[in-house]
Amino acid sequence: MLPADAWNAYEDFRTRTLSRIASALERLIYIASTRDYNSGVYQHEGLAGRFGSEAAASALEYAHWEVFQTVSLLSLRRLTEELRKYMDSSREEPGAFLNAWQKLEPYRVAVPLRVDPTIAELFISNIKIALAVLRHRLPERRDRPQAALPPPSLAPQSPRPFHN
Amino acid sequence: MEYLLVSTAVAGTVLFVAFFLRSAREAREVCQGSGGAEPETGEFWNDRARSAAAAVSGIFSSEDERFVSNEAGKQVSGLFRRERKKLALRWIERQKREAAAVMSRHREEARLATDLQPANEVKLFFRYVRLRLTFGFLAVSVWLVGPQRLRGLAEKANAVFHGMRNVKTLRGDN
Repeated sequence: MLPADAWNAYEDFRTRTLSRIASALERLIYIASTRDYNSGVYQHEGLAGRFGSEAAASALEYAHWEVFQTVSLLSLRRLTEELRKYMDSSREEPGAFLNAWQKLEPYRVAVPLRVDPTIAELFISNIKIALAVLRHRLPERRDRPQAALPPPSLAPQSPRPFHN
Repeated sequence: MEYLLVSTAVAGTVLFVAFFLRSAREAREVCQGSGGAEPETGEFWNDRARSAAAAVSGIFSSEDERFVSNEAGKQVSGLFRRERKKLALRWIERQKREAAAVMSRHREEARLATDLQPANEVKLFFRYVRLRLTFGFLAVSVWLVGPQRLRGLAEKANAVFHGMRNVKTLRGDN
């Protein structure tokens, strides 16, 4: 498992940060956002200050893996519900949100670097299907031609779900 | 008339074999691409038995199929079936490759072993043959009817596979 200092960092992160996030999908997206895209190393100033950067990175990697397993193994019904809540909390117009998620597939960055490939494929596949279900539920507009993605806004509309 | 029936049957069989082989090849290519090096043991993310069992229940779940057919239209149901079939075939291909790797490692070790027990070796060999046949049958069945009705068989194959991975038990204790 984890070395003692990393385990302490993980416990701290779990109780002080993750426990305040209601949805498993939001937890996953938050943890994935602490990972540097170029190096794959997890960074969290608060945790690193208390436990050291190496222990913090290991703790975040473990937390990421754990939450990813949980989300990947949700039934489609629950995953679709999680995704709907996340979509609502993003404050984006549902059509625009679904366009972005279906075309850009940003959920792929939520996959941990080291994970069972079958679980990773199941996650990506389930998200695709959940997005299709949500698109199907969209009233009326779903049959109209898709609008282009909106231009990027300088001021981010989606609030970062978590603050440290 | 008979000629027409026979030709249709032959053409159907050829098409079936061709499409099945194509699906299997695609799954194999994807698995080879994503396989990578053998992971180190003892790391948290390498809890294979748990991951595999969970993946099987997810991929072969009929609850998800019911949800999709109740909640969404034919288009989404079609997407669901295609995705699940693809996942199941890739999973089968991975299991087959891992089983072959386990046997290959075991053969290497068996060459050097001084305490080899022939009865256990035969038992292991038959377990491997049974596993290959089960995965072969499973792949054809998935391709034909989709994975949702095959959960029991998949779980059984997975259990045999994880039993086979524990080769040391067969050699020493069993």
